[in-house]
Parts: sequence; C-alpha cells; structure tokens
Amino acid sequence: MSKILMVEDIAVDIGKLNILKGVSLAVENGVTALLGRNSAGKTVTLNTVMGYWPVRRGRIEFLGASLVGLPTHRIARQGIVYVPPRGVFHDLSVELNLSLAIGSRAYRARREYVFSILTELKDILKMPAGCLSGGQQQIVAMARALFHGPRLLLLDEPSRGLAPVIIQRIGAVIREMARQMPILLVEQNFTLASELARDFYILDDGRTVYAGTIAELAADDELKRRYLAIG
Amino acid sequence: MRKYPTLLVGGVLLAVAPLTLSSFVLSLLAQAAVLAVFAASYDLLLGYTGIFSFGHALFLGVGAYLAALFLLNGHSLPLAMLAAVSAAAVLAVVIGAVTLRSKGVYYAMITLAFAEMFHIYAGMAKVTGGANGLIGIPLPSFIAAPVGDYYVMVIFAVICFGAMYFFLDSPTGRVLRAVRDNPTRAAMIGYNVPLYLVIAQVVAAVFAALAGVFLALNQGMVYTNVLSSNTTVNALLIVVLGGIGTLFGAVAGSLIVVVAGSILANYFPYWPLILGALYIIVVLLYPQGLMQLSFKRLGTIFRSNPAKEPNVSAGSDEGSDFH
Amino acid sequence: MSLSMFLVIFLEGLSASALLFLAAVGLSIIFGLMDILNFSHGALFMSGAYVAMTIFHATGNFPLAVLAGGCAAALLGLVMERLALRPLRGRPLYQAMVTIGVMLFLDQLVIEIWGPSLISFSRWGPLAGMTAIMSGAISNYRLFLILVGLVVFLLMAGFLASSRWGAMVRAGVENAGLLEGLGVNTGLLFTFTFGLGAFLAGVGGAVYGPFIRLVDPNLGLSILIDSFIVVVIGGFGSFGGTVLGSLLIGMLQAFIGYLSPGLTVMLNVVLMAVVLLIKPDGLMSVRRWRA
Repeated sequence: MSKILMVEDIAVDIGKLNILKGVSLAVENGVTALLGRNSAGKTVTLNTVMGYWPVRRGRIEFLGASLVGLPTHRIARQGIVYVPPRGVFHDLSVELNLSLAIGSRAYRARREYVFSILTELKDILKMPAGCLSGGQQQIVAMARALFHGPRLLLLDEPSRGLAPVIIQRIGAVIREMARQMPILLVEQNFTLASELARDFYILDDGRTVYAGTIAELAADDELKRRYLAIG
Repeated sequence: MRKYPTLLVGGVLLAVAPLTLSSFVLSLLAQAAVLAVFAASYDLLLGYTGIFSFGHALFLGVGAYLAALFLLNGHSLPLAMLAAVSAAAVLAVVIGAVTLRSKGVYYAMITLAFAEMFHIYAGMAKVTGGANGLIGIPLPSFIAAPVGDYYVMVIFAVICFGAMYFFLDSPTGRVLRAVRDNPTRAAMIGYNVPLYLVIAQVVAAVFAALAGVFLALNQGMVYTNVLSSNTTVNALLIVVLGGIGTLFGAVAGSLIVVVAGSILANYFPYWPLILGALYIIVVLLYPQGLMQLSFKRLGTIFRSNPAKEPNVSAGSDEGSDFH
Repeated sequence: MSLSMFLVIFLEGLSASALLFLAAVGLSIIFGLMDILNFSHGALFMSGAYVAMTIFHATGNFPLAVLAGGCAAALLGLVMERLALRPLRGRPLYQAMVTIGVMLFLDQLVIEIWGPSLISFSRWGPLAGMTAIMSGAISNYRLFLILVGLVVFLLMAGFLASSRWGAMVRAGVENAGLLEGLGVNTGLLFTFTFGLGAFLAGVGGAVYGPFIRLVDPNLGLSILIDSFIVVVIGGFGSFGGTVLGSLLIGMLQAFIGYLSPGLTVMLNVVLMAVVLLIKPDGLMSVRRWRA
C-alpha cells in the first residue's frame, strides 16, 4: 500500500535552536502514534507538516506531492487537518467553531452525521467554546475535524490534562474517526496510544530513533524505559 | 587586548579633532555625542532588554529641564545632575510599576502617553517657561566656547559609554539579556524578572536624564521639543541605523542623523523623507543595523528567502516579541 | 447645571466619543487581528484629512471628499501591508518599528505636498449651522459626527457579529495560526483587514478636519495618542473595549473640560494608569488560545 504521508529526514530550526535534527516517518491507513518524551519534537513535527515552521532540510510528501514551502492554508486545503490540544476559538460559539472554515452549507450537510457520532454536541452548540470544560473543547476540536472530512488528521495530545473517564470517551471517538481517515497521533499517554495505534515512531531529541508496531513496543520494556520513561 | 590600540587611536583622533575642524562641525559633533548617549540609553531598553518604549524623551526632558531650573536658580552643576538623576529614577520606578503586569505592547503606548502628558504640561506651566522654554541658562565658562563645549560633551559621552559598557557586562546586564531572550525561562531559573525589568528602566532613565543635563549645557536653553515624541523617534532612528543591541552602534547612528543630516539636508531638500525611507529599508532588510552591513552579506540578503514564521504554533515555548 | 446644559454637554461628549471611536477602531482591529501596533495610524488618519480637504475644496462635494479620504488611506495601508509588514510577519516588534518609519515618511510627505502650515477646512453647507436643544444649542456638525460614529459602529458590529468574514476576524484575533490550519488564507484576511482599518482611519480624518476647521501636520500624532489611550483603557483588540474606551474618554473630556479645561490630557493619562493597575489588559481583553 502506498504511503499517505511521507516525512523524510527533516530538520527544523526555531530561532537559533535546531529543534528537529532528522525526523522520518510514514503514515498509512489507521492510527500511527508518534511517541517520545516531553520536548522530543513531536508537536514541532506536526506543526512542520502543517507548514507552520519551514524545513531546513528533508522532504514531506502527501499522497505523492511535496508539501515543502507551501503556506499553511494551502496545506490545509489539500485535506490535512491539524487538531491542537483543545484547539478551539474561545470567543466563538461551538456552532461557529464548527462551521467557520467550511461555510454554513457544508455545515448543514454534514451535521446529522457528525452529531450521530458526537451526541454530546447538541446541547452545547450555542455556548461560547471558552466556557466549556477541557474535555468538551477537545470534542469540539475533533468534531471540527470530522466536519472538514480530512484525508489525513494530525491529532496532537488529545488526552492532555483530561480526567481518565473523559480520556476513555476521547479514545472511543478517535477509534470511530480512524475508520474514516488516517490519523497521525501524538500522545504522552502510552496506554491510550497503544490501544489505538498499530504503528509507532519514537522521537528523541529531534530525531526518529525507533519505529515498529505497537505490539512489539508493548513487549519491549527496555525501549519503553529508555525513550518513554515508562516502567 | 587588541582593543587598546583602537581605543588609543580613537582617543587621539577625538582629542586632536578641534585642531582641524570648523567650529560648526565641532558643535555638530558635540550634539551628536550627547544624542549618542541618549540613544544608547534607549538601546539598553530596546536592544538589551527587549523593552519597546515610545516615551524615552520624558527622561531626557526631565534631565534637561531640571538642569536648566537648578542652574537658573544659582545651584551648582553637580546638584543639578543629582536632582535630574533622582527624578528620572523615581519616574522610571512609577512607570515601571504601572506597566509591570501589562503586556509588552502596552508599554510603548503608556510611555508615549506619560511623555506626552509632560510635553503638554511643560508647554503650559509657568515653571517650565511655557511654550518659550527656559533660555539663558548660566553656563560654566569652559563650556561657552565651541572647543570647550566639544571636549566636555565628548568626555561626558566617553564616560557614559564606559559606564554602560561595564553595566551590560556585569552579572545584572547578563541577566537582562537572558530576560530579553526568554523571559519565561529566566523566571524559571529563579530570576525576579519584573525586578530586572524595572532595573533596566531605571538605569536607562538615569543615563537619559544625564544626557538631558548635558543637552541643556550644550544648547544653553531648553524647549518643549525635548519632551516630544520626535525626540524618542530620533533615538529609535539612531539605534536602528546604528544597529539594535550594539551599544556603540549608537555613535555611528548619531553621526548619521546629526552630522550627515545637517550637512546633507543642504544638498537634498527631501532629506527627512529619505531618512524615513532609509529607516524602513534598514528595518526590513537588515534589522541588525547598517554597521554590520558588509558587501559579502549584502549578497546573502537578496538571495536568502526570509523564513516564514508561524504566528501561532501549538505547544511551542517560543514567545513572540510582545506576549 | 441645568437640564438643557447637561443635554448639550452630553451630546458634545457623545460627539467627542464618536470621533475617538472613529480614530481608534481601525487601530484596535489591526492590532487585534494582526498583532501589529500601528504607529502610522495617526499618519493615515491625517492623510485622509488632507486628501478630503483637497477634494472638498476642489469639488465642494463633502460626501465624495470623505470617501476619497478613506480610499486614499486604504490604498496607503494596502501598499504598506504588502511591502513593509508582510515580510516581517510574526515579528511584532519589528513590525511596530517599521510602522514608525511609515509614520515619519507620511508625516514628511504631507509637509512636502501641502506645506508645514495650517490649512483651513471649512464645513459643508448643510452641516454648518446650529440646532437648538431646549434653551441650549449644539452645532449640526457634532450631531453629524454622532451619526457617522453610530453608522460605523453598527456596520462594524454587524460585520463582526453576523458575516463569516467577521467571525473569521474574531477567530483571527484569537488565534491566527489555528485559523490558517483550517485552510483560511490569513494573508488575504490580514491585507483586507489592514486596508479596512486604514480606510476607517482615513474616514475619521476626513470628518475630523471640518470639526476643528483645519488640517495641520501635527494632527497625526495627537490622534495617535488619543487612540492609544482609548484602546489601552478598553482592552486592545476588543471591539466592545474600543467603544467603551471612546465613551469614557469622550464623556470625561466633555464634562471635565466643562468644569476645568486643560485638565483633560492629564486626566486621560491618570485614568489609563488607574485602569492598568486594576486590569493590566484593559477593561475588556480578548482571551488568547496561546495565553
């Protein structure tokens, strides 16, 4: 099967710091997890795919076409949606958050379908997103991704700072979304990641240091200790 | 140790300059020396601490007006300097306290408002001579002649630049740069960031006030214009042309603005327009200033693609200039 | 104070508020959406006033003059955004510094074109007289200013509340990066918004000229300071805050100026300092995702 997203040996400088020194990964259908300690470069990798940071070196290809040098909005229009943790517009109502970038016609067309998956949205549509709980904001951010119907979803730490029972719900939503679209998932919560993902990559200090299937990783305590500080 | 020959040559050149230059050029050089100190004190904020003030003229003006008032009332110059320095320091602490918790962007506007308040007050109040300003400041006899004026201003500037250099080189100066580069990190290391920001403002205010005192001596009069925002813009022009965060760049910038300005203005009627355009181009193409603009680098500017920076990137620790 | 005098002063305060609002709204929006502290805002305002004065004296058509003033400022703003601001995007400090250069340049350009002295800017016939209010009277031009302020307020409020552009502007104020990631060309949005802000500044200048019956090359700076105070008090980037700040300062100017003229500038600054000590981000501040 051909790769949906290919990242090959990218290097990114932010200010004077070399944040990414050599990140490579490939995303296929299903959920691919991007793991690693804090400040290993996971979020910067997602941001770089979206074109927020320019690459100094390396290739990024989406469905066979290069993304390097494109402005962020053009990358987004190719069908990549990036969901930062609780990434909502606080000032806007939930409904505007969902319809803002796609227009009201597309919003009405997909409403039924999205609300059938995320039933909890119906009650909060008119509320400003800033008044919601962290879990609700994360649901809204993911619902927006469903409205956009992307060909690739970049999901950045959906569980950050949320209570275990809410993380379970988020996990269920991600599993449902993964049936519709390939997902590149950055996650600190290894348990959640291991439940969802099939393949994984580990970043350490701005480099891809390990890749494999989640099943292999779950069995390898040494690897988890070294790069994820687990166990 | 290779600095010493350069300093020596520079010192000799400054010392013998009056032998060859006309008194008109000497008076321009004296004025440039004072403005260089003022601009360098502005650079302490902008270049070394990352604080963008738009009311720095306030401190120059306070220094100049207090010096004029003290001298006119028969007090000695040292007492006038003491008064100027203390008043500027107190004002800096007050403004620092008001702006402490506000975003950086507010600082420029608040300082502008404060300076403008004093500007308007100085134009109305009796004590400051209203719109006419204070004239006929009694000057010590050695300043009255152009050559004496030149030496006093140059020696004043040399002492101030030396003091600022050692301040920036001190542990406190290094902390300021750490705060400029990353306030969050500096705070996490355990530095009291607001305290250091106030220190920077006080030190910059003190040097600006001293420049004000010597400006009053140099001009023999003080006029409300010294408090106007044009004065701050002049400092900004000097710092940008000379190079932000290069203390001695202020000397080059000051020479461009004062000396080249007065001489070129005779040949180019549109000189202020040219200066404005030059300033825009320098900020756009070479924010490090004209001083470091060598021909080799000129090539790379036009070839390199200016890196696109995201306005927002989730989860990044990098702070933008203002927030 | 009699009721009719109170009414007159109230309406004068309202007209002063309308002027302040017209001066500050573009500055507030440009900062709110684009993070640009636009020091050239006063110079754009002044350019609008000068162009309107020239057109009005040439044609005698005041509505046309106001439109021309707005369009001239918008054109200057668009050129400035493309040439000087876009290359520095994401570096707000340098953007603010470059706008100071534009301010210097425009201030000087006005002097080169129209000369350094004051030029009178007479009021259009239909707006020249006075209207009686009980035992007092107020100039028609002040009533006109209230009307213009109200129209711009309603247009902007409608723009921000109902249209998708407005929602995007509000979203961009909060988080331009996230909006860009949803496929919105924020570059275009920024150019449009900067042009809009400059247009409003130009219109403000065009209606301000006949109010003080003249234009002069120092106009830009005094307007810049007033606008700064309004937006600092109201909360930068907040539309409601700009309205609130204009009303506060305008009313203060009318009532305090009535009691003790000459105190107003100092009171403005003191009021600003007090507001900042209590609420460091102004009375209404926009919450930011990246906070």
